[in-house]
Amino acid sequence: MKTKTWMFLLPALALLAITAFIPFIVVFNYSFHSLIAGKEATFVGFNQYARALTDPRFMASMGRGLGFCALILAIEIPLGLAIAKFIPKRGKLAAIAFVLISLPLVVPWVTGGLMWRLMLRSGGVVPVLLSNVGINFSIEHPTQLFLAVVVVDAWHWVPLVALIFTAGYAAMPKEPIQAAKIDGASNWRIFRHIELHALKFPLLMAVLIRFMDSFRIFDEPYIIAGDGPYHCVEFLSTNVYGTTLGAFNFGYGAACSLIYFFLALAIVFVLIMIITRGRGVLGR
Amino acid sequence: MKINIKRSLQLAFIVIVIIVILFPIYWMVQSSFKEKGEIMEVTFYPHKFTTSHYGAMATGDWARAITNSVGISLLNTVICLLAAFPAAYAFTRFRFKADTHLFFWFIVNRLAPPAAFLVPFFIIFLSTGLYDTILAVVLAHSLFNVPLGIWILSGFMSDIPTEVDEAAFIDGHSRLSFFRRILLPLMRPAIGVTAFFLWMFSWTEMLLASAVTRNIAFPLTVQLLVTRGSLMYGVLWGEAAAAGVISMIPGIILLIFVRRYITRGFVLGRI
Repeated sequence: MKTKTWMFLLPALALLAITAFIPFIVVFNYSFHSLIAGKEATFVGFNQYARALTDPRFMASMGRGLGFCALILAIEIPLGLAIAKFIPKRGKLAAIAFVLISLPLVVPWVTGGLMWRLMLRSGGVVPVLLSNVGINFSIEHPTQLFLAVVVVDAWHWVPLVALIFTAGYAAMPKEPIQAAKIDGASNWRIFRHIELHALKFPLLMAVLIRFMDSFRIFDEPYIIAGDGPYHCVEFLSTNVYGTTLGAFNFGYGAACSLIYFFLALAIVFVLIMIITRGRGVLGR
Repeated sequence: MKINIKRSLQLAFIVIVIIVILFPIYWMVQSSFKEKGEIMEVTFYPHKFTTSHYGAMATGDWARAITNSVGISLLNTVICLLAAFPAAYAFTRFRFKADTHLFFWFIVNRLAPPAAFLVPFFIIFLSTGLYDTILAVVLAHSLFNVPLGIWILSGFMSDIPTEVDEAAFIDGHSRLSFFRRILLPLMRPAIGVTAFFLWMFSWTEMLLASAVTRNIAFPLTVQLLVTRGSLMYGVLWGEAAAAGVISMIPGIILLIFVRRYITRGFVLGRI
C-alpha cells in the first residue's frame, strides 16, 4: 500500500486501534486464563472454551440467539422493503409519512424498552386490548415473551431497513423499468429481475447491519424481562453479562464472547458471499 | 380502476404501519403527562394532566444527562466523520491490494460483543485518566460508528465518477483545494445522511456508555437505566417518559433536515 493510502486511512485506523484492536487483544488474552476478579490469573489453555461449549445454558443461548436473528431478518427485511416500495414519494404525505415511520429510530433503546415493558406487563394496555379480542397474552409465558421481544425489535428496526431501501429506490435508474413496461413485463417480473438486482447493495447493508445488531441485542430484552422465565429471552449479550460478568468471571466471559464473535464473523462472511455472489463487499 | 384498488391497498398498508409504529410513542407521550399513579392504569389520555415530570428534567442528574448526551453525540459525529471521510476516499479512489479485506474488517467491528469489551474499556480508560469523561464515551462509540461512517460515505462517494477528480487536477487544483472546492460541496447530502446515522447510534446507545462513565459524564440512556428498579412502582415511569419525549426532539429535527437527501436519489448505489 502506498504511503498516500495509509495517510488517508490513518485517522480511522488510529481510532479503531484504541477502541477495537487493543481491547480485542486483551479479551483474547483473558480467554486463555482463569481470571476471577480479586484472584490471580492462571493460564488454562483452551479450558474456558471447552467449558463454554459444554455448558448447556451457553449453547441454549447461542441457539436461541441465532433463531432470534433468523426470525428478525425474515420479518424485518421484507417488511422494510415493502414500506420503501409503497410509501408515497412525493407530495405532502411523503414528508409526514417518512418522519413518522422513522420515529422509533430516534428513541433511546432504554426508553423504548421501558415503554414496551409498561405496555406489555400484566395489567398493561397490550394484554388488556388483546384479551378484548380473545387472546390471552402474558409476559410470564416464555414463547409469548420471545415473540413479544421479536415484535418490539421489529417495531424498532423495520424503519431502518425501510430507510435504507428508500435510499436504494431513489437511486435506482428508471429507464430499465420503463423499457420493461413498454415490452409488456408484469410488475412482479420487473420487481424480481430489475428492482431486486438494483437493490443488491442496500440489501447487503440492511441484512448485515440487522444481523450484527440483533445478534448483540441487549437493551430491550433486558429491560423488558431480564432474561425471562427459563431464560427464554437470554441471548448472547445478556448471557455473557449475567453468567460471567455478574460473577466477575472474566476469563470465562472472554471465551464465551469470542466464541460468539467468531461464529457471527463466519455467518457475516457467508452472507456477504451469498448476496454479492462472491464479489465481496466492495463489489470488485 | 384496478390500479386504484391496488394503490389504495398499498396506502392502507402504510397507514397501518404508521399506526402500529406510533402507538408506543403515543403511549410514551401521554404517560409523560400523567400522574405517577395513573401511569400504571390503562387510560388513553391523562385524566389528571401534569407537567411535573418535565420540571424534573430541568434539574440535577436529568439535566446533566441531557447535556452530556448532546455533547457526546455531537462530538462523536464530528470525530467519526473526520476519520471516515478520508478513509472512504481511499477506498473509492485508490485501488490497493488489501482493500476488500480491510473494508470487511472495518465492518466487522460492529460484531464486537459489547459485554466482552466492558472490562478492557474500563481498564484502558481508567489508566489513561479518561474514565468518566465525555471523550471516553465518544471514543467507545467510534468502535461501531467509524466503520458505519466509512460504509455510508463510500456508498455516496463511489457514485461520483473519478473523471471529476481528474478534471479538477487537470485544471490545476491541488488535492486539498479539490477537496475543499469540489468534493465537499458534492458530498454535502452524503455527509448529512451519514451524520444522521452516526448521531442516532451514539445518542441511543447504552451498554458501552454505562461501562465508561459513573457520576459525571453519563448520557441520558444511562440515566434512564438507573431509574429501572426491580419494583414496578420503583421505576420513575413519569420521568422516563418525559425524558423519552425530550430525547426524540433532536432526532426529529435531524430527520426533517435529512429526509430530502435520502429521498433525492444519491446513494448506496454501489457499496
